[in-house]
Amino acid sequence: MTQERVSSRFPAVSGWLRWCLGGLDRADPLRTEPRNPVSRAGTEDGPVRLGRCPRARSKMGTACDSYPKHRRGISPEVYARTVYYESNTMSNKSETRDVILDCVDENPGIHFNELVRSISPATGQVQYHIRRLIDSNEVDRMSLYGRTHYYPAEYPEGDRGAVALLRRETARGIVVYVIENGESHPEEVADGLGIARSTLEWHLGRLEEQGLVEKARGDGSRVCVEAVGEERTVEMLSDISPSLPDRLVDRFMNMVDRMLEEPGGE
Amino acid sequence: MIHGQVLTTSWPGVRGSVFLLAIISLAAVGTTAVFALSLLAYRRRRERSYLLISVAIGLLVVRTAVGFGTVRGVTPMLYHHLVEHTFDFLIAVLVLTAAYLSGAEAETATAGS
Repeated sequence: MTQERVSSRFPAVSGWLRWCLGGLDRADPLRTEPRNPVSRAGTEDGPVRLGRCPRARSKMGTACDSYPKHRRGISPEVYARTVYYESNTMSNKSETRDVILDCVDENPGIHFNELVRSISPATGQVQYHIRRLIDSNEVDRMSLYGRTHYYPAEYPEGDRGAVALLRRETARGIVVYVIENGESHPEEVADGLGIARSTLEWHLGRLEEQGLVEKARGDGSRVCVEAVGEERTVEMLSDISPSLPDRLVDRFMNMVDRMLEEPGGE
Repeated sequence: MIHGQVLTTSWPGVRGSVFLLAIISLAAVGTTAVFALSLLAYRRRRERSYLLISVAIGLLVVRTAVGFGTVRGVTPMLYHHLVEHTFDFLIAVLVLTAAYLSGAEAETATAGS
């Protein structure tokens, strides 16, 4: 008897959990189906409203007209187009593709999850449209250190890896530190940013690979870190910022590195 | 069965407690979020210590699942305790190993450069 009760109640619990966890990193699985047909119908000729914003479904009843937190990082123009798109029918495929293309154009080096978060259609749809855009050579794809990044086709090849790295908070911090403080000793950089040496070394390896910084032997045998092509870097830095989940993973890595390193000490 | 009955008569029952269920739900959300974070970090770093940390946090998620089972009357109390405390031990071992390995890696890295 208890078994029956358990199995009949579990689906509700697991569904709720899935909803809670859905927003964390993946697109909300429930987002594919509009939950409230009444409000969907109301958007057809009413004011522009975000019917598919996950927060709109919460019991808090928060208004979603303002620029919501999870969409920061994309420009207001792209966001406005997305809202416009959402308020209309979902069948217009070329329009979805335009929104994706705009988003990639404005955020070169954006990675897949960020793209899905910025644009409403379900992951599968984004995947489909992205594939089409890649087939027609409008968008390029590049895998870098465990993530897939997308670029407008005309984006210079040499800058692709660099711009993707600069989207990661700590890497960006290191580059900014070295540009601001000039040639610096790795220990100074690690102390200045409050990160462990192992975190720094890992990032320096990637940054060197992408030609953003360089390790050089300074006076004596001291190793120094210096910025390469400062002007180009500053230009790239000016219009990108790491997204919230990116920051979260980055800070988690910093925390683990510090946690593992400090007891041993140097 | 007998074991379960003895427990329910001598202490307040665990089965079907809404309060406990709410707490375990919170634990599930929290541990799964941290687990997802650790997996993402491992995917980027590909270091053994990160893998061990991920496994340790993954065990926390399993612990929560066992807690769910007990409240719903699926996992007997004996298995519950057995699993929970074995996992505590394993988590301690994993974190210590991760700390040890990261020290060793840092040493070889400085020796190599």
